[in-house]
Amino acid sequence: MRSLSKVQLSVIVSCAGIALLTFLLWTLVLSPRIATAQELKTQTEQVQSANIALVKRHQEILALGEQAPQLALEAQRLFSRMPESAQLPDVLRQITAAAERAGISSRNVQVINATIPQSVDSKNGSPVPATAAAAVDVGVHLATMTIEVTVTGTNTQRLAFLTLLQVLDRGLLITGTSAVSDGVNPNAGTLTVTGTMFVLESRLPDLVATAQEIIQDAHQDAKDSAAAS
Amino acid sequence: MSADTSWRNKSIGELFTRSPQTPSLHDSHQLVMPQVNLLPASITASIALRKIRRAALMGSTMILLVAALVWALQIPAIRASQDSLAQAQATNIDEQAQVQALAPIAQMVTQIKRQEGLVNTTMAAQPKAAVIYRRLLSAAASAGSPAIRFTTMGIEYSAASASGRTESACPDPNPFVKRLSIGCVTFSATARSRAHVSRLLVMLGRDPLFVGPYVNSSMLASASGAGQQSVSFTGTVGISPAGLATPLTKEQATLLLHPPADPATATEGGQ
Repeated sequence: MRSLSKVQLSVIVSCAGIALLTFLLWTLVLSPRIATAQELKTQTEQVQSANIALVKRHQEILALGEQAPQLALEAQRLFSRMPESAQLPDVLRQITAAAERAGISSRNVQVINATIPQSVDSKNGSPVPATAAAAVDVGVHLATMTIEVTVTGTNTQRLAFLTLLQVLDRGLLITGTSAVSDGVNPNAGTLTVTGTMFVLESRLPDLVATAQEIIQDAHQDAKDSAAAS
Repeated sequence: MSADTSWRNKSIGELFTRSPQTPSLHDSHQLVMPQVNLLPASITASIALRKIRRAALMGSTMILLVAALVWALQIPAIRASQDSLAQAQATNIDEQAQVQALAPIAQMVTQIKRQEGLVNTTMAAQPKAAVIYRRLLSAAASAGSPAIRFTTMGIEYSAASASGRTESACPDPNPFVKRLSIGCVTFSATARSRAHVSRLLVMLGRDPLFVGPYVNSSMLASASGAGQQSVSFTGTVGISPAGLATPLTKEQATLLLHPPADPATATEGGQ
């Protein structure tokens, strides 16, 4: 019985040894090896999909670069209608001139109120990130100011003044009007016009030239980096 | 595996006596020797143990060989993956450098577009202020004789919005119809009679520039010298999107009337 048990024990020990060997081989050698291969494949796929996104972004930027001069030209036309802070007295003179053209004497331009221009970025509470500002600044800083003008005149004069205000070469957005008729003459009275005007905080640069310069510099940098790599 | 030990229990006579199952010479015409195991049990067990050890060794060797084969088969796949990864990483670095170098272009375009968009969106709310003012005066002139006289008239312009919304300042006398307005006229005026006031409301209602004319109070004023009474009244009238210098597109109007559930989408089309 003793020798039989020994045989059985040997069989059991051998089987257990083989199983342990198989387990250790799989756990310590083969499984990590297969996992490494799989991991490399996954990493490659991830980097490749990141590359596709980068190539797409690269092409988008190149397309933007092609559109940029035209966009800059349109923006130049739009922004050139806005007065610079230093030109505000001219704007007030233009308003008075419009009233005079409408037949309202300058004495009857009773009130012209202009608030201090407020930067659009600070107004919106969205300051430009420091990194982006440091990288590129096209030099257009917008601000808005509220203008309030009160004039006295006949209905015809007040209408003409309102029309002329809207065709000023400076863009004035009319946000409200208020008319009070004269107690004596029903066809006359005061008219208060409230409006918002965009103002440039600094001198408007040549946007097309700035855009072309930025594009050239960027292309040169791209060439340099391609050559370096 | 088990050794035949039944001979131990037999006597010598029994061992040399032919068992009934043992085929006789006459039966099978063949002489068969009896199977006798004379080896001691320890030897038999040793043999069995050796066989087991050999089988275990063989099995282990086979497993090692298979493992080595599997290991070796991974080599080309891993090398190929490493090469692809290295290539992809190199491309990635190049592309990143290119995008980084060209980033100022994107930043510049974004900056210009953002500012241009802000100005355009704001200025798109520009009303035809003079036209609106003139039409109000002409409605007052043609509603009665002598003309209705506006004592005060305040017009407040805002971004286009649908009636019933909080941003729409003007009350609409018809709450069952959703209409767009870009501002609100609040007036106080005097007329000869209430019939003239009604006519003014009808005329304003017919004019596509205005929506929802409404008189909220009318009062008989003191009699004039000629014995005629006058009515002083106050009211409001909304200004329709027809009063915009740049008309709304159909899509913008639809978005304002039927805003989507997601407010982010609504702001794209609205002003």
